[in-house]
Amino acid sequence: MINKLQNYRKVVLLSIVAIVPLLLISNSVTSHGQTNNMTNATNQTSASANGPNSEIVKLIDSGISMINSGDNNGAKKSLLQAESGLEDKPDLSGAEKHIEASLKALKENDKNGALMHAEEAKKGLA
Amino acid sequence: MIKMNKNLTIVYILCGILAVTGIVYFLVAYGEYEDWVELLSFGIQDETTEKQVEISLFIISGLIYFGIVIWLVKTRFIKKSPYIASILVSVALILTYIASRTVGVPIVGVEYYVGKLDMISKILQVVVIALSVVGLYKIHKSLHTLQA
Repeated sequence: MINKLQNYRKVVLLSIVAIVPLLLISNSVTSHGQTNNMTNATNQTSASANGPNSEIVKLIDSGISMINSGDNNGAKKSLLQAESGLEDKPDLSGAEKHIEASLKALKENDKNGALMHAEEAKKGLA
Repeated sequence: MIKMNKNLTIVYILCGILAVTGIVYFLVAYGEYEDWVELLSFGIQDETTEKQVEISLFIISGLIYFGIVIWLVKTRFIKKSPYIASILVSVALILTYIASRTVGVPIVGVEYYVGKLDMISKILQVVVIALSVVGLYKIHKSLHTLQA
């Protein structure tokens, strides 16, 4: 009986340990999520006459052509610069997530995935 | 005797897969750490909290899998609780992953890319669930045999 009780305790304990990270995600860290850094504000304000996000679109386009030419490192740099231009723009988080996905695909040498997500990011900025 | 060896083989395989799953989680955590450093080098601070949460989650998940292996060995594979724990942890992580790729999870939001390591870890977790269910069934069966 005592053994059984101890086993249940262990199960409960382990379940709690599994749930803690989920709770962390949902609650306690939200206050830290407001970290706003203005160091890259220059990129955000450098919109040309074609539209507010045209500089970012240009960077993504340059990333796409580098992916097509096989220059993964160059593409990574362009996409990271584009992502840096999307900082503090929560309304464009969809595009930012697609740039991240494109970067992850690049890391795994998944050219099609990288191109697809870069195109999706551009659509999100249109 | 042969049956006993077969049962042990199953739990040894389960322990091996649990350990491999733990290692995969550490690799995913390291990948996220690399991404984070790269983002910081470009002055991107927005992702800091997200990356910290992801890295913590993956490290804790890896540690939990190794903890279950130790628990299984310490209980000589005859207690039900570590098997139940491995099922619960794996199901929780699979559900969290599905949520992160569909409806989104707080802080992290929706992730669009399904990587190779993601797929590998999910396949391993399904195998962990299956083997744990088999382990539980074997324990249940042997308890019934002993009682009879």
